[in-house]
Amino acid sequence: MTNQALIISALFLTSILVRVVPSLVDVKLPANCHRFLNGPLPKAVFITFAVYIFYIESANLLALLIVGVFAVFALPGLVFTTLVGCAVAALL
Amino acid sequence: MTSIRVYAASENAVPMGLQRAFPVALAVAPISALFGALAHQADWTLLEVILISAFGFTGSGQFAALPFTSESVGLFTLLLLTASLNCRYIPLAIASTDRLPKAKISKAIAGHMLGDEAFATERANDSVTVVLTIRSCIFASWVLSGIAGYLMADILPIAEISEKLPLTFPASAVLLFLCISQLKALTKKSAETNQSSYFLTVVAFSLAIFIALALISLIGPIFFWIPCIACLAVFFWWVDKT
Repeated sequence: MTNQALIISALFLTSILVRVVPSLVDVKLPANCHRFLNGPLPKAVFITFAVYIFYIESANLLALLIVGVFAVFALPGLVFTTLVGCAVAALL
Repeated sequence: MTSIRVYAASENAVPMGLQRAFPVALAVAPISALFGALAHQADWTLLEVILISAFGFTGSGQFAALPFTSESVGLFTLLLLTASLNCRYIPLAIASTDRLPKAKISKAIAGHMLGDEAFATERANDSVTVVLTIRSCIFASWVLSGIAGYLMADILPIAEISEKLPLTFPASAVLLFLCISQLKALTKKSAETNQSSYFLTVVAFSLAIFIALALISLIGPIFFWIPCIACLAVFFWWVDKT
């Protein structure tokens, strides 16, 4: 087996473990769990994402802050905000 | 009347999904193209790039595994590395399982096509068709951009361009915008149910950001995902309860 084949197999197995199997789990959850899955869990995921983005893109902090402010105040929409952010990141 | 409305909603589901997924699909394209170009430099074949983009479908995992092309490592070591990087998908998959088709095979395929950007684009009340359209569009963009990057590696020096231009930034910007939009919608929803004040919401979010920053500084950006999501989920559950 070549290294490329090993890498592809490892990534596919990972996808099965972390995405496919949890998606297939079909358990009748109580109402409290549903509320947890639709409120606190997504909030936790999105804050973790946001903090991670600021951490890995710390070199483009100003551009990210602009994107963040535009998103908070729902100013010009996703495409325009991304373009402005990219222009600032490329210029600085 | 209801049947007409349902028919209209399902008829609009694909265009609606495409409309929401298209900017996101565009934003992830440069990252996948960069991967294709780097894989070309590392002597991967086009078929291997197609296979890794389709069966791997993970930016962080693909980039992390690429340096191991010329080193002899075991499957278990690679699995440990990629699983650590991608364990964040477990809570995302659990939280989005209700939106997926009921048939097991379709559900498995939709589960495999789950990405950070797709999760942030989807909404809790989206129909199965909208969710499948969003995931397929981003997935197709990822695979096709990988192929394009590989084929253009000789013509366009994508790897060199990436050193001068922030090619990963568009995807980060899109993901940040989507996360903030989703947080706004979730906050509005919980404010309607719990009648919580604006001040308390700001305090709760500030504390959550502080916890996340502390965890990423302590554990690092690879292993902080599961502890951070678990801590914050319990924190928000407690805030909603009190």
